[in-house]
Amino acid sequence: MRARTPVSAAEGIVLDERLELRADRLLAGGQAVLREVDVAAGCGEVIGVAGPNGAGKSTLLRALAGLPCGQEVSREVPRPVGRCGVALIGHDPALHPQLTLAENLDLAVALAAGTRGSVPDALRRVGLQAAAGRPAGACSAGMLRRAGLARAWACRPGLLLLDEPTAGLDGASRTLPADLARETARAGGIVFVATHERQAFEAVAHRWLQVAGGRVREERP
Amino acid sequence: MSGGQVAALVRAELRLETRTGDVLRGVAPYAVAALVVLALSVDADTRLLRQIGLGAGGAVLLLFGAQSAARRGLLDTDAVRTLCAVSGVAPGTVLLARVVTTAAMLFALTAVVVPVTVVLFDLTPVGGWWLAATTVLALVGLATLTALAATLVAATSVRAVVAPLLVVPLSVPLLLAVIQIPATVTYGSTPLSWLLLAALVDLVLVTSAVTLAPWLEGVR
Amino acid sequence: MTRYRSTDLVALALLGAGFVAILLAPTDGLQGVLQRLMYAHVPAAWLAYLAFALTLIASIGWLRTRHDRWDHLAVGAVEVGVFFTGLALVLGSVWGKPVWGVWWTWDARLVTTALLFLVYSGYLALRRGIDDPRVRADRAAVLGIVAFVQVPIVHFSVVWWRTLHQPPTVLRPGDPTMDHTMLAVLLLNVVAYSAVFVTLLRRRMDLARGERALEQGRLAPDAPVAGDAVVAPLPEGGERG
Repeated sequence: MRARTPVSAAEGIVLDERLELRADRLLAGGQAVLREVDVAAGCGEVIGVAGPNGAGKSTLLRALAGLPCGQEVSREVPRPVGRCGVALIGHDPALHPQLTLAENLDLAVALAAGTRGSVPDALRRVGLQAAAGRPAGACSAGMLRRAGLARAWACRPGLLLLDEPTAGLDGASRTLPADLARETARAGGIVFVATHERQAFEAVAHRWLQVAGGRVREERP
Repeated sequence: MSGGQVAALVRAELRLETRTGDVLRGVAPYAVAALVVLALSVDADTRLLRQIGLGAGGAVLLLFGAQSAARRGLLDTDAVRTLCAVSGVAPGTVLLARVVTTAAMLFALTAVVVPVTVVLFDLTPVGGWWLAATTVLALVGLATLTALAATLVAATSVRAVVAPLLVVPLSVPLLLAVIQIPATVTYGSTPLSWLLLAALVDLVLVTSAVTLAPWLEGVR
Repeated sequence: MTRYRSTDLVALALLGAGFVAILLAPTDGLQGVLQRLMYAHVPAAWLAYLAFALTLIASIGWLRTRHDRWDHLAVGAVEVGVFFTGLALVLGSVWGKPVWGVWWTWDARLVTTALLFLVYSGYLALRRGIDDPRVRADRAAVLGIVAFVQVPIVHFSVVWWRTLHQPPTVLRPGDPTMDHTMLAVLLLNVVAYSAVFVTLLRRRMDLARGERALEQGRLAPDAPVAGDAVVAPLPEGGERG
């Protein structure tokens, strides 16, 4: 991980603080999923990722998170973003079934980098404060989804990667992922949202990437 | 490496163990059963029982302790491994957390096996502090070896079969060091060399673990 | 298609010559015909240790450079090494029974060899359980290093253990005084077995290279990507055009 920070001498403003991911190919399960990937994002940006099932949206997010996706993947993270850490909220809620929601979040917060929020506040934000002591294994899919979002609220990551965050959420909590994306971007973070429900993020996403046929393309408005 | 991260992982792993009881409620009863069967198989010959008691206890502890490498703990779930990798937790931190939790479980298992062995095999403690010190060193070495093996087999289909196969052969020096203490004391010599052997094995294992940790856990 | 190299034939010829030499060698006065097992047992044991030392070197090489050939060398050396370790153990045991009166004795060399057999069998099982080539090579290399670093400690701990208790055997393996003809036959067989070892190792490395190429083939620029397998579902009762 290298961070490039050219700073404008006159104003002291960091200009070129961009996250960059380049790879000839990204692999999943030993098979090529995406080719000629070149994705960049600036701080404060929310980027939507759309595309059909199996096209490689999750693989792109995993690569952005720095997980191994084949060889010769070049990934550069702006220093402030790297300092605040990365959170990947995927299909798998990353909660251990025999630990309670609060214990799971405590662990995630303890492992996370940078400034962190409080776990009870995060659970309250997603409406799960009363279920804090319940084992993750005894929670419904929608509750786990919410708990995953609470993890991001508690960890305050600099790079937030949401994979189908609206799946399984009820009507009242449908706006939570977009709220989370907006708050993270306002704090200077970078957000990628892979989703099939564009309308839920049209208001927050600055631009969209289209993943199809093994390629990632910028969507022209 | 961060102490806070190690503490968080150890706390979560031990909390999980108190809930699932993989080692204390799962492995320990089998270890006791194995001791009973061993004691039965040599007939009611008290002299012979006394003679093989320490070796039998050590072997059972080793074999069943190695089983704790094959258990599916917190750090063997994909979710937690991904969480560690994405959060940038160093492989050394994860390995150290494994060593600490494995050591805790092995000490707990020892606390069960020792009294049962003493009762079944009519053992009188010979070697006192030498034996205690060497046992502690041996358990630390075994925990390091077990943690290394558990890391090597983590998230593989062969976990349950391969982990004990990696631990048991390489832990022979530790077993020998412990069971030779009473014999050496009985023959009237100082068992210092056996204590040093256990310490040497620990040193080599810990050095190997620290040196090789960056290549473990898949993510760098 | 199998291609034979000239070295394959050389190894085969040497093995044949070594076998004939074993038959022609003088019979041992004390141990009789069974002593002839030594001519296969000693080379097998030496090659077993050589193989695992090669694994150590290859494992370090892999972790430092990440060149595939180191990983191929490591897996080849372990597979061939486990074979020769097994051969050495079986031949030694068959030779030991009439000579020492037991199939097995707690000699340090025997114990160490048996433990190596177990650990490196575990090594092969571990490799089979990991799909990702990079993770597999990394973990195997770590094990290849840890296992071999432990060898001297295992060996000397058993030596110390045995010096405390007098071993129950009369004859020790590896009598240093040896008839000159016997020594020549032994040396010939060491050379022959080493040639077989090299041949097997090269074959196994070729195989590993082939497996790797197969894995790479799926990654060729024109190979289909994973997502190509997913198309829009059929409408109810419909047929796609």
